[in-house]
Amino acid sequence: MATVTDWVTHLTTDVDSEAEGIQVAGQIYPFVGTEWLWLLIAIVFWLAWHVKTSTSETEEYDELASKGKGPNDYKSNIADW
Amino acid sequence: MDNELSALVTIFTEFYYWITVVLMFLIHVGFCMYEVGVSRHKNHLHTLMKNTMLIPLVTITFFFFGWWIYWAFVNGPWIGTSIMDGNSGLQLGGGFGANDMANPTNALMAVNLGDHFYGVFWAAFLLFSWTAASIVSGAVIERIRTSAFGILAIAIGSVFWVIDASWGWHFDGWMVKILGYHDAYASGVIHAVCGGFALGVLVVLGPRIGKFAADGTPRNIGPRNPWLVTLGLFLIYTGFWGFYAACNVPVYDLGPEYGMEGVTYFTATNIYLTPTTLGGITMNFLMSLSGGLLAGYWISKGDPFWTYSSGLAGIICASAGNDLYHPLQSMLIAMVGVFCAYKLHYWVERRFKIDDAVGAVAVHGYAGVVGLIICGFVLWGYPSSGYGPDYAAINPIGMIIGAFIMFCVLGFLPGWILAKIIDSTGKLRIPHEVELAGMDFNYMEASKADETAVAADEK
Repeated sequence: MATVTDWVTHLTTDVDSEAEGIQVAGQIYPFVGTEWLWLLIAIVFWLAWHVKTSTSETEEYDELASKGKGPNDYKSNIADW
Repeated sequence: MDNELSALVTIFTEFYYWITVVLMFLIHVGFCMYEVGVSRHKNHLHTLMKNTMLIPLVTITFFFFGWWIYWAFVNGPWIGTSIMDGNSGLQLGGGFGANDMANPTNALMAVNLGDHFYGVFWAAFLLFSWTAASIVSGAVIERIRTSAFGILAIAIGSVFWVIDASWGWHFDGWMVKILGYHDAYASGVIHAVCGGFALGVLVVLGPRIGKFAADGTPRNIGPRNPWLVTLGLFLIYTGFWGFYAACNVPVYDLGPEYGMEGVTYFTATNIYLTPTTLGGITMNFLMSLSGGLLAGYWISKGDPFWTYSSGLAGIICASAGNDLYHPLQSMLIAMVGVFCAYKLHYWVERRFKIDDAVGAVAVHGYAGVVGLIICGFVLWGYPSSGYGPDYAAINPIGMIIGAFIMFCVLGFLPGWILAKIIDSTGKLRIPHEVELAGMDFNYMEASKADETAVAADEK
């Protein structure tokens, strides 16, 4: 739901008055009042990111470790382009 | 903003902080270049990604809870009493500074036509948080897992440095009131705490393979690319200038703020809302940079790595009192800090086999601690605040205790404990075989294969 549908109305609304209209005290982002929902989604994503990237990092290192490469083997892989 | 003057002050202040944030971004660019320049070819990409990914991790967690911590913990809790409402617990309501507005769901934590300062002030603090995590990042290169560093970056960037800022870098902080702690440009609240945190992690992480000979003699690894190191440190200097500006309030009327009836006194202030001038701190910034460079060149016998780092260490050492020092005092204090940091770095390296790849513990930690202690003596007797007699004056004992809290209590100890916990799960350090081969081996191998295939098609 759009928080602002008319800039003139929004900018001239008396936020301290209970007279009429939607009293939005300065916020202009959409879905005012649902901030907790967005926060919850963001935290879940953040925690999942740690779990997923840590797992893939371990898989990458296990695979690389199994190759048994020496400390100078990387030099033959330095690309010239 | 209902008249032209208030509109001018509001928009100027908003733009002022906005510019400081952009300038401080250069600190992170510099840190990335510096770390890649110091790391070996086989670790470049992982080194770069480690430092880059702290940006989103610290940013979102600083939004989730870091900013809330800054405003919540000014009283300890239960150590000091707020000058705003007499509260000694968590600062949760009532008066300016209460942290309801730092709740991530608060209306002010978004685009809000009723406020123009809050977002840029939040962003300035966030950039300090990036710097805090990035300081630790350099020390641990070439052997820490990126996932482990991510957790440590959040801990120092969004929790521990923020607690110390709440305690000692806030006009209502208990350390300012009770100890007379003064740290205008963060010798302690960023640099000492991060140096201590890095040292705590390094103790658990251990040195890179080959750093120490069998008899314990340290070897120098790198820097591999001195030009990246040079550019990186110049960018850090530049961003540090933005940091200095961000630590100030550019225009503030101290008359009504200090309760001086009928007095109007517009000035720039530091973060404690005590007066200073942007001109004065600019002189001190440059003189402490110069003192650091001169001392570093001298003591390291012209070693470029140490000379550049010493410029930074010089500023860091003088930063605690650079809002009040004379420029010549800044220069000399910077020189003392560099001397101590350089000597301590090599003593700790030999004595405890600590492999600090970029000298972060020395440049930030030791120089920061020395700067706090010196500040306690040089500014002995100055008021720590303009809010009245309830605040202790700046003094050596308070500053020494403050330095201990920064480096040891909120720095070394949390770093060591967290590293121990992560290490106990086997997720702190990369496998031995990976360290030998290089973390970028798979990337490099794939890139070489692509190059060979493309070259074959081009024939």
